[in-house]
Amino acid sequence: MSTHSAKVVRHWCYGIPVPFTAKKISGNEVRVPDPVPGEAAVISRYGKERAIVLHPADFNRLNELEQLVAAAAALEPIALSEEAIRAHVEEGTPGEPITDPAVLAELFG
Amino acid sequence: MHPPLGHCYWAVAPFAPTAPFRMYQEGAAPKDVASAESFTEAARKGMSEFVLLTSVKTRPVLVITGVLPEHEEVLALRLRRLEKLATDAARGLVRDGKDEALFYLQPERFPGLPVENAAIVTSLMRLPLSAIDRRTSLGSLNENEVRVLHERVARAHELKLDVMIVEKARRLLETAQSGTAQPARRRPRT
Repeated sequence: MSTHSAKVVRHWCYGIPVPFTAKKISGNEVRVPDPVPGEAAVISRYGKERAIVLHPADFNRLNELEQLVAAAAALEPIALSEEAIRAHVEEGTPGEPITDPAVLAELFG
Repeated sequence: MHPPLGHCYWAVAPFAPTAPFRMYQEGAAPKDVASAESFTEAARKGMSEFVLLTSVKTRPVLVITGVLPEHEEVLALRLRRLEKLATDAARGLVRDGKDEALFYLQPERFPGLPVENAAIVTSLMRLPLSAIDRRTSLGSLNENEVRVLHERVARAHELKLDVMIVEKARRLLETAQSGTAQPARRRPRT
């Protein structure tokens, strides 16, 4: 039997970037309907959906759409200016702390 | 804005400890520890908690979240006085909102700040409420400014929100298709 798995796209049900796995099975091993573009063949058993067969072009289009939407939702990083970098460093670096006990007593009792 | 979200307050803001670390010792002068690796080695021996001498600065901060009710904490940003920027051109860029990492605080809405300031978008810090003097708000952002600032913080830190956004859009689409739109539930915040 010829099977092959490839990581294709994120899996929606996890809500996090977990790759969606495409499992390839030789056409000699199973009997499947001949899908046509734009049509989804829903395979059911005991009244429950078991699988959906798509034409490869539709599957690829869905992958591309998902990737496109994910790319559109990705945040564009901010380019930090020299001033912003300097502000971050200087305001995040301690200066000369007040440690004189007399001054501290005057300030805080 | 519902305080403290979007408001500016005086706070006791710590500087993050960096190497060499100044460690407090009972009855002795502070001990300098050169690197974080020494702490890791100590932790492997089962000793992981110490007292470091950390500098703090009393300064205005801009609170950018509500209070986490479970922890009594907020996230806040440090401020930068515009007079500290090197050139008039740099100040102009900040005032015009063109320097995305320095968020301009409109002086008319921050009457408690004596000079023009900008929030440093990359200076995110967690502050307990007890470190913030909330008696007087020095001024506040409006709701739209808070949204813009949140977006800039997320972008500056390159937070990976794409899947969340796409998933939310998908759920909204499903809800719209099923005709059972319901308002999102929100955790109460103070």
